[in-house]
Amino acid sequence: MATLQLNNIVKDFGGTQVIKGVDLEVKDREFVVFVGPSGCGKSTLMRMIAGLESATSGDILIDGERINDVGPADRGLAMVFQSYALYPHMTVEDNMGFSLRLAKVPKAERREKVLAAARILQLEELLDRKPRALSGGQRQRVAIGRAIVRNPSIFLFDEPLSNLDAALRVQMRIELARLHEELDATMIYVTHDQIEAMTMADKIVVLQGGVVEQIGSPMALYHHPRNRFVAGFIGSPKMNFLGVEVRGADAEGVDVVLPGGDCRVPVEANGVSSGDTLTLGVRPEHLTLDDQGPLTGNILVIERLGGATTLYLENADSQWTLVADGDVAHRVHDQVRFSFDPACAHLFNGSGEALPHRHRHPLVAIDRKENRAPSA
Amino acid sequence: MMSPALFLLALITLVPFFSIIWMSFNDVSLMGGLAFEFSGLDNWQRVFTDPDIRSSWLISLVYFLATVGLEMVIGTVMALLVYSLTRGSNIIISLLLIPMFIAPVIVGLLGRFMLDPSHGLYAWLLNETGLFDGNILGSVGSAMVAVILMDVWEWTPLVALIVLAGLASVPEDTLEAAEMDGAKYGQKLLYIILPSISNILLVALLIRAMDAIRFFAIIFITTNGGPADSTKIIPIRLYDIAFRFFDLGYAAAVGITMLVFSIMVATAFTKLLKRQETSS
Repeated sequence: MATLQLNNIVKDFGGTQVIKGVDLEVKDREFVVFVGPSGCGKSTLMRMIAGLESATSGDILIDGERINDVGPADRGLAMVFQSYALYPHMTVEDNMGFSLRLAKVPKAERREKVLAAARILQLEELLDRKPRALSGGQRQRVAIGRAIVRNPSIFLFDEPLSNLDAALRVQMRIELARLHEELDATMIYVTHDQIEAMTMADKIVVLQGGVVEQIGSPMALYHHPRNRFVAGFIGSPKMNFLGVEVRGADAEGVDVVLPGGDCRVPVEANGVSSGDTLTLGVRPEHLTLDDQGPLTGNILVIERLGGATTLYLENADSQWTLVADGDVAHRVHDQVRFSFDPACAHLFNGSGEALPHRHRHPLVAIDRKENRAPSA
Repeated sequence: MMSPALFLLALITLVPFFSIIWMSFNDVSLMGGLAFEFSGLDNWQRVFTDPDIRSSWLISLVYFLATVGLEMVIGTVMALLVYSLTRGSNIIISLLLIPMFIAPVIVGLLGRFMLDPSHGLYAWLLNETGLFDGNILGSVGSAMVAVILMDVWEWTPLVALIVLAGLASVPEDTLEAAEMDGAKYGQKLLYIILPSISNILLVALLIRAMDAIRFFAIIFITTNGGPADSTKIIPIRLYDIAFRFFDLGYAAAVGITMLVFSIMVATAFTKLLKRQETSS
């Protein structure tokens, strides 16, 4: 199996810098997700790892060996493309065995390997079909099967689920997580969907404008976003932001002014002093309806999901999104009061950097694997 | 409402079509006014027994295979080369297409000028390099090669253009997937690119094949079928029969066989195309 290391990777496209110095370490058997909005450079970064794009400067190391000048076929990687990129005139079996055929592997051995991969993905019935006779989910599985057959040291997935419908996406997400456990391989996955990132990753790399904004476990990103961008990008619905004035700061936290009274957020002051303006961030699920709450709002829209209800609120100077339980009886245009636990709130300074929390959340070190199976 | 249009259509297509069929069963003479004399299957018997017609069909076949074969191969290679260019491909394409826009008669005249034994550039070059000595268009063999190459020069760009359009439709990431699977350029070409554009290649082949069957102008202007009938492909033979010997009934029969042959070729191609579509 394999580790991957990126050292100060830069990519220029005709004078425009799309990747501006990325450092990254991927551990053996880790599931790493690159996530970010369109045009953040996540696909370019993956294509450079794959060898389909050359790095303008910087080093790419697999198992400690520099592979910048090694061709894509010889890096020992396999990639699953967004459009599946199946060979349209070949059967499923030929698609999956193409790399072996090029490597002149004997036919019997080829068939054996293809069958083994097909068994993992439940594709045995479809081996004689052509790609156009397959559904989207089946094509996706063939593309993954083609990668498995190569027995790569690292799997690369370039937005593999974005062409599937919502239900199938959830199913494939689970299947991919299962596959990661079964194959026990290093996997790198690119997506713009933060839910895919949160559910599958051991480690998430948040990119924006060719720069790494934060690297960490899903829970670390959720509970301790390093800046306002990460805070807004991770989590759904998006975090609420409100400009607030600082009343005072000490070792215990920072006091900020809210319409309904002061509030102490337990973060490092980091030189913030009375009178400064900060941005308060509170996730919708951390807001609670509370008749004694310090904040008020007028309900604009209610989205009932059954188990949970999303309320879109507005008051004189701000808009809020609030996630409450499914039994909320309020109606549109009702005036409600709400509050939040200051320990769950975030403060960001003028340049968008988060003031670090004084206490780390207990779950930040838990990765996805441990989520599902008790560690030995 | 439709009747005027239908009438016009009948006038310009159906009437000539049926009259040519009728002509093929008659001895038609133009002397002293148009006169039809029914001759039964005489003309048709000649079509199938005349050794001149048979040799013309054979020459046509050679001509057809050589021109279309060369055009397909060179055109495809040309398209692949242009497609691999990272810049300047637009201007290269425009330059490549120029021969296509020259009327075949002009191409023939140009060829005659260039191959003229006394002052032709190519004739001089071939003579100087010792490759060919003598009258190129006036010798059996070399004349055929010359008219084939003129046609290839004129129509290869069309094939290249069609193939280029096909290449643009080969998805980039499929090629990248093949690259990651370890395919070298030749393997990508053989296993991915050519199978992906096989439909387009068939279309190009069809267009050129239909053209080659009724090809006329270049040979008419350069060799007019000579020397010793060595370039007398079937359309030139037809022209001779009709407008040099004025044997219009016989010419009609020859013309109909050409039409039938064209239809057969086209049908074969469309069948192939359909098969391709259902299998891929």
